[in-house]
Amino acid sequence: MNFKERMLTAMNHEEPDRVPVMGLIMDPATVDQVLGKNSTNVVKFLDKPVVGRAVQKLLDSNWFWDRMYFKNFSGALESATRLGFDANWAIYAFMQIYKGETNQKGAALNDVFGRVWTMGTDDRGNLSVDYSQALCPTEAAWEAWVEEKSALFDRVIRNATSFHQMLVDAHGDKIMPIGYAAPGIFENSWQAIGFVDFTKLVYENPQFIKRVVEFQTDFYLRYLEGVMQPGVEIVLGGDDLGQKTGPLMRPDLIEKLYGESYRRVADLVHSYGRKFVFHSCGKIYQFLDKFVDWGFDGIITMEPTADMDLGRVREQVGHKLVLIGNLDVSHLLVKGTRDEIDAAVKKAIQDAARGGGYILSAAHSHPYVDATRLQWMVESAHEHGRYPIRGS
Amino acid sequence: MDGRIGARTRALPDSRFVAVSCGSLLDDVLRPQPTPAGLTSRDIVRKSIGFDSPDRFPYSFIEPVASDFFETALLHWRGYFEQGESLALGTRYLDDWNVQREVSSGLFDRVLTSPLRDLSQLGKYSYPDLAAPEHYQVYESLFAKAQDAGKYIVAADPVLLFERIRDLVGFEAMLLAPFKQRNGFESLLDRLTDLTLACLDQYADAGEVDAFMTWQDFGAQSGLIISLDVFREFFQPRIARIIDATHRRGMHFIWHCCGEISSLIPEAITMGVDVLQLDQPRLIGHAALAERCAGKICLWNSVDTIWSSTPDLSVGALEAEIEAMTAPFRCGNGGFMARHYPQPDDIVVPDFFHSASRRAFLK
Repeated sequence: MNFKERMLTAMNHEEPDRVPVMGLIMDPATVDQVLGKNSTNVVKFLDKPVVGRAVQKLLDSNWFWDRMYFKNFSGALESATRLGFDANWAIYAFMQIYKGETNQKGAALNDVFGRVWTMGTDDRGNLSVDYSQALCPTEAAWEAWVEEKSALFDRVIRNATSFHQMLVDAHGDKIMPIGYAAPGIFENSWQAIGFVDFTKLVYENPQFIKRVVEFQTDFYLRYLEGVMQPGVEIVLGGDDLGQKTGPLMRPDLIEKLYGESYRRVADLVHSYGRKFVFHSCGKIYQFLDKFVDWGFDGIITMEPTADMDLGRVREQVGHKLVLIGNLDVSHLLVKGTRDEIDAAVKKAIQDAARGGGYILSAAHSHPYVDATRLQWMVESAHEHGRYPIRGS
Repeated sequence: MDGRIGARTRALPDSRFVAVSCGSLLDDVLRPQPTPAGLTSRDIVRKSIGFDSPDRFPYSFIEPVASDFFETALLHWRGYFEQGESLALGTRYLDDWNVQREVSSGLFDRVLTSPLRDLSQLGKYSYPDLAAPEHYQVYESLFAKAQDAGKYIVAADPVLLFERIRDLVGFEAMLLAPFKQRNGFESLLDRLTDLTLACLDQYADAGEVDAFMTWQDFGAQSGLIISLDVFREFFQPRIARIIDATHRRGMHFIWHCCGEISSLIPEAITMGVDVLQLDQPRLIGHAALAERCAGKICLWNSVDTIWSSTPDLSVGALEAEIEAMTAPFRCGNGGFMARHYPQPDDIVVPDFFHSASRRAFLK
């Protein structure tokens, strides 16, 4: 079996030759470690008077972001191929220099949806980009923002389509690029407004929130079509519904606000004959039945640090969902020993891989994830993941 | 003031020290409640908190006012409302903490901008002098009256560590701050803790205060807002400091916390919280609450505020609910106190609710 057959067999809840392994490589630090390169962290130049202005200009150009994202994910796919992964995710984003007021340090960027991202440097010198501010806390601000950015939404879709096309063309014969359409409808709606204001407006101005969700749903469906156009066969949708302690919002409220949107998402992806895997961080046991009901094919992350136990998830959903992830990125894939990684891989396979429907991967990515440990994870999966799965 | 506790007083030109200008409410609060011979309301509350077989459940009811407690929060609460109270809806203003707010329909005005989103600016930040002695002079006579009336006196925390840090830093930035701005976050927490302790001293100097009560909502409807690890690392040591100081002054520590906080109950017990005040007990469940709390930490609970707003709520259902809340505590050891939710304007309850719930609690 080749990588593609292996992935698609597992996605159909059938047993391939061995458990597929998917990479979540995206951080330049990991890519550089695998490819032996040294990326330049542009943020550190922002304080320089002349170079800083040039970097600001660069960060404000569509050309830069398109090139930077392609280069980064091309490197990620190359890295994942070298490490022996069967697939790796790829995410496109569109940013501009934020020209409004902010009291954040570092470079402030805004996306097309109305949120500010702060680009900074972590304590190891790695580039970090964090959501930091909502730009549309009121109905009037949101309406004005959407009108101002109306021309950009189609451009974002075109750019994303071309981004995924280039990755498929460049790497599709060696590894499966997984199209990650993120952020999703939930995040694009609440993060532009801010969590506190959003949760209040759900009750105080439900018609406005309904309009926001409808707008984001319509956009997202078109975005997904753009991602699928290049032949991406497995699509990830990204919406973190959970936090470490449980759902960010009550599941019945999520159902009321977003249930129909998520059903439309699954229906659309299926109408193209593709598979839809939902990415949600956090403790999400309470959503598992909803994921099945909404028509999702699989879920990814299942963070062990959010108390997500792969065996418990499999027990709860059976083979109604493909499970991807669960390998810890707080310790295991950062500082874990080879024995620890071997034991975690064996446990994950025992917990979830019988009958297919499990794709082994890290729970997430971040710059401290160590490429050597990723390689150990892949090697361990190759050794212990041969079907039929044996052992207790 | 319209006589209902919790109603906002925007019409008053200067609503500071509402208690002084609001004789009827003060009289209602101070009115003695039925107690066995030789015991005061204060004694009954203390027995309940100490699991020392009180003769009845202590209570604080609002419609009509009838209470074993004297709560400063119901009369005057520095730090949140003063500047917005006399303003029209939608008006923007800076509060004492330099947080820009917009007058909103609920009790707490909406936060528009948070002054400490970037905690590297902490050194330039000017804290309000909440511990200035002049703010507490009004309480000397009030506490004396409450003591004469046999009430259990509850002083309100004006700082409210977790609430305040959310306002000052902003919700999303506050979630990231322990990881992204750790030093500044810890410095701010320490400073707010110190300020809380200074306010506690002022209350103690103003009279015989029985308890110090804080309102810090760590729970959302489905779980904690922050992880238990972050709570333990950043908040638990500071709250424990406040609790220790409260106990050294001979006061109980009362903690109001909204949301599903079952994982915090063992922490509260370990930290020495004397009373847990929950307005959404159904999120944890009455049986689970009794199992976790009975004999360890006293509850001072309202009927679940969300459940109370259920359409078509009947008297029978309300009575059954209160029976489920109180049954585990009717064996006589104490550990349960009854409460009406003190912000009735913020929830929609049927007309019979307050009288029927009062009857059921007193049964």
